[in-house]
Amino acid sequence: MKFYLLIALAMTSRAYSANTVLPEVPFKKIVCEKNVSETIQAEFAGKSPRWTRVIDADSMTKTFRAPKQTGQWYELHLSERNEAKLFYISSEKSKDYIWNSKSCTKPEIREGAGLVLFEQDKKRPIASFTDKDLAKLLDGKAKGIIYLWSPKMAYSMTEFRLFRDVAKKKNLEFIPVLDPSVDLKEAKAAAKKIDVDFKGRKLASIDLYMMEGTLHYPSVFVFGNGKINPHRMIGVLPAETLSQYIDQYMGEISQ
Amino acid sequence: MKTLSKVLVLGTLMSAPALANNCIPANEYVPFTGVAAKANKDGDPSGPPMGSYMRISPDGKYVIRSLSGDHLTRVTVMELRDKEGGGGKEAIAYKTDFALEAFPVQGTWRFVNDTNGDHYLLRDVLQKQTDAKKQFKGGMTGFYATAAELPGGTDSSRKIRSLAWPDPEKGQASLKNMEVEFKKNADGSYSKVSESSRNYMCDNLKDSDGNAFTLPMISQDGKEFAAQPLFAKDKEKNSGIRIYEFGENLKDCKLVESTGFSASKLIFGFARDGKKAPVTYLGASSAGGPQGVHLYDRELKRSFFIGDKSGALVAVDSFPGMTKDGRVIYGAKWNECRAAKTGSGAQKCELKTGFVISDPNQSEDMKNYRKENPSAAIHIKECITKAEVKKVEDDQRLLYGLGSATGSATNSVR
Repeated sequence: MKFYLLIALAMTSRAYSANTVLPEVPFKKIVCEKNVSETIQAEFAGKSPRWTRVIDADSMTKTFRAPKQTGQWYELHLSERNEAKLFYISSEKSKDYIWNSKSCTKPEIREGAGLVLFEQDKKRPIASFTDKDLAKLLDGKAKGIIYLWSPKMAYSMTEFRLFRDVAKKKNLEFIPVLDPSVDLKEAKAAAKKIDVDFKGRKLASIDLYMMEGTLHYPSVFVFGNGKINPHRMIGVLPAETLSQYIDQYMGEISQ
Repeated sequence: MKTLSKVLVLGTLMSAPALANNCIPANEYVPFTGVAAKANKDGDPSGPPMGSYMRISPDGKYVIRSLSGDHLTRVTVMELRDKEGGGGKEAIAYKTDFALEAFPVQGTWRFVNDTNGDHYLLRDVLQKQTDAKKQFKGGMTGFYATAAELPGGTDSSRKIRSLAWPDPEKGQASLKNMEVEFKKNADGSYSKVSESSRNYMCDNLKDSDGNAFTLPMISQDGKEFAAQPLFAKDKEKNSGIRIYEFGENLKDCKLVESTGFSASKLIFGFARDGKKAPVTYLGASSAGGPQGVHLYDRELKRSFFIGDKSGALVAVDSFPGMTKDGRVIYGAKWNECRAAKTGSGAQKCELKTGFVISDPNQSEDMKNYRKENPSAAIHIKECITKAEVKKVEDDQRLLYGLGSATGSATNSVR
């Protein structure tokens, strides 16, 4: 009886697998699992990736993202029926890893251009917030909030001052960063209409983008102690709850 | 027998095209026209503003749109109507005096609300625009206010449930709701009968989901809501938006589902055929595909990408919506390309702004899933039909009080 129970357990969900390289998925089989795991293990130099589930690419795929280091990310698509797909994303270059389900040998790797969040004006470069800027923030002793805003979502402008003032009261840095898809003229005009000085640099950081910072505005990331909390806050908050949120999320990265 | 066989074959051949013709298009593009199509005064090269915080009516004919641009009022009601002489649809604007994030009373769109609680008849906004007068004042006010008309009720008593956050008076980000009872008067106007006190919600979940929620949205029937808890204890494993039911006492909340993903906002569709209401949302770009609109099927617990993959789309609004017949509608900018007159084979493309009307059943993702999982996907059909759309439009027109007249209300902004 025990033997059959053990077999049944082994045959059910992969959730109980000892595989620490791949994220948990609710289906039994991952096509080319062994080689996918080995490839990821090699890419991450033996460390276990910190996978976060994001919006699925389609209905039969579970989609995850994990950072390798600042500005370098992997996105993994695990499918119930088809081959897994792995994508390397950075501002310098991209790599698509494609497996053949029949052979399951090493993947074909196709290299391409890096992810560019907005086209830079070569004659008059637009001030931008890059992964280098983020790395610099995290390298020092700075503590603060990164505030992503956009004229496309008016509350991110009307409540700009509230967020800035709460940060200031807590002796934290306030780093405003602008939606990369917005025309700069539009952003300046929108800021002027609500009597706010146009501030901030356009988002060029792959890290903030891959942590879904552009999904809604405002989005706030808390940083300190050399780390950034990947759980962002979305939408506006009254000052008291904003202060509570910052304290809690800062506490999580101070350990 | 041979003659009968010929008749059957002929009959089959004749019916197949009829089925296809009865389907709405998989994706239909509806450009802004008239004043709405003008770029802002600073000459934004991307054309007129798409707008934001959009809310879609149950018949897909009207959209409340904030940030409508320099040539219109801050908030407009857009009408998606057939072009005169045929050849597709266009979207025209009606001006309002509403504040940003004005919202409809969902489920019926009998009323469209300003954020200060003023309830207006949609019909009056269409016919009188900024001269429209409110019917009554009531319900929740403040950021992210949202409301739905509860099912049931009669002209002498119907109820609206409204939900909002935060409460600037107390500085808390807990969710609050209240109910407004209203009645129809003999002259066709409406009056408020009573209003409940405010109910502070979800204290029963404070040990699991915390006491602060963001991005709230009420369902079409007012029985559920979606929100993202800020301080959930299990956020490492279950980050993202959750769906809750209102407790019977309107104070307790019951967690129905953790979707597991973050979205710009989760907007409910209509529950049909005994199934749970699906939700629609904008998803971030993934490495494998374009940014676009998704539909989460709560029966299958799967997200379907239903955006247009043709490559025409340039930008998509964060607030899609669903109609009663199952279509998904969202604001967008797209390239409309035609063969250049030179005959060289080159194309001339023009950037357009407007709406996309999508049939999720005809998306590549849903079609593939239905093909591979026919028994699980039994409730996913081949397409939404024109007859289904017309039925919803006819019913809504009566509810709005626009009678049986077709065509636009007068006085739209051209």
